Amino acid sequence: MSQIITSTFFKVENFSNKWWAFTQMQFGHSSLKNIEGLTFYKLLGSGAKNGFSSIPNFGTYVLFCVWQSEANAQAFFKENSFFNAYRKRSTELFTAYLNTAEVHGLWDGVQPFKKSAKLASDKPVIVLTRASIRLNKLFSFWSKVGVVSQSLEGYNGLVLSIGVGEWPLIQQATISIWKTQAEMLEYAYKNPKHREVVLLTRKLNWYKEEMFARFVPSKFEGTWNGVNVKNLV
Amino acid sequence: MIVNCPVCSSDNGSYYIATKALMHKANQERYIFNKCSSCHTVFLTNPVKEEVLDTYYTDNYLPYKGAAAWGKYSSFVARSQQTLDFKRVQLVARYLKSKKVFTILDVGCGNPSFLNLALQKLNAEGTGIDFSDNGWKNSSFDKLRLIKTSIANFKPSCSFDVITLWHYLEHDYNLQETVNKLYDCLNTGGKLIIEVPDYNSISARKQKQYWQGWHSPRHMTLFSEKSFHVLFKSDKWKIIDHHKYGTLDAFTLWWLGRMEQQQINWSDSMESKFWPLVFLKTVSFPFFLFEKFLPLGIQLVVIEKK
Repeated sequence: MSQIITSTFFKVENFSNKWWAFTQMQFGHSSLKNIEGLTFYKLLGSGAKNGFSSIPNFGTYVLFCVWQSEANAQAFFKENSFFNAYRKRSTELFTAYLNTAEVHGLWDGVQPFKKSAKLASDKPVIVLTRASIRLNKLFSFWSKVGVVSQSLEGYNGLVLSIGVGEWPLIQQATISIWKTQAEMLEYAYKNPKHREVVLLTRKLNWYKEEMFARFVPSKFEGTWNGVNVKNLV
Repeated sequence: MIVNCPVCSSDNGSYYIATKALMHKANQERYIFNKCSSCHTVFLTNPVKEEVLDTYYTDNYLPYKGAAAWGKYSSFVARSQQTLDFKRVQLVARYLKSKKVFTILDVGCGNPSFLNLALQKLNAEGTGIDFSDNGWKNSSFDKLRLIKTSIANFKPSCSFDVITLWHYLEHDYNLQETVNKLYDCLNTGGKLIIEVPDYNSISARKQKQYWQGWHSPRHMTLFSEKSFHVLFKSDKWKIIDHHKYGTLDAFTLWWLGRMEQQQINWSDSMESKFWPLVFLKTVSFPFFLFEKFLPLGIQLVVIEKK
């Protein structure tokens, strides 16, 4: 039995579905208690402009789960009423199944991932970066983050990138899917705007807690923007 | 994964570019090229096994379909192939002007129309080798010696005055061994004529991952000027000329990259592309006039065996 991580992206449209999804950021937690095999989860909202904005996007949400086994995840997706309600209200959704390859740092004081995969430079990788921003650094952080999101646009090898968070402004995460590890590293270490923000992160001490993880996707189910995601990676 | 440069063996390389499989059906394959910090060669780090390479040389592969891919315009395209062959024959003649009769080996000859023209125009004794006999099995080239073999397994019956490698070397899986074999096959003072894509060209920089010079996963190595100096060591070889242009029209390479960017179906007939191509060729003609002064995608090297 090996740990599996799932990241499900939901797209909702019209006012009532958006309102319902928004309220689940608070009320959905009760439905995610005592789920068999679920060891860690996060319900995440997103920002406007592909997620990298302090203004919320009420149309995109992410359920990020850590499972004891894939069977637990499959059972949840099949039987859980909360998940099925989300599915019904979504115009589109997809789930990425992930194995952890690298992880540094903590998320709410814990490190929930067990390493079980190896990265290959010519194979897909999913990157999670998340941080809790110090309240006195919020302005400094948000004035810079837009530059990085612009630098991601149209980057060769980037399939999808979305800025998400548990709480607007102060808890931020980025999930990005790359066609290969080599292209992700090219962006991370050679893109001048990204490098500048990495340096500023250290210099300005924006975060009180941060985590960085790389995952190897084992499969994708569902569509995004009308395209079967497994055909994108 | 290949981490060592196939030219200088250095492991000091870094990511250069990633592409999907080019001139191939729609795919999500990913090919990673690294650039050697030492000799600036760009090489494929995740090549497919030679045994499965056939998958990328199907009957629908455009160079195999040749002029026939262009339907009712095939005669125009066939004529442009004749022009290309003629340019190549002229080039060979320029470097072998003192010889009345000479022997020539064309490595990766495909359809041996160039060798045939060399035979007619230059009185050359021609030998062609290719790993596939698709290029000649349905035609008659009685006066040529055509062998279905790899360069590694080729057993020459004579040594040659000139060996031509028109867009072959970038495909080679064992460069060092190939260079040694070429040395053994060539007479002293004999010439190697090598034409390959130039990754350091304007078209490569503009078209990025769509540039057909990558031709993933068929091309293993993209050469820099330094690559040739490292590969053809000065104790055995002398580089006579290195041109940043070749016999293949740079426009053709650029146009193929443009088609890749437009995600055309490569197995379709090219008939509908003919007039747009003619239009583009006409309007871009003034730019490509500078082919000999600007690096536009092709390079040609002439090397003499000492």
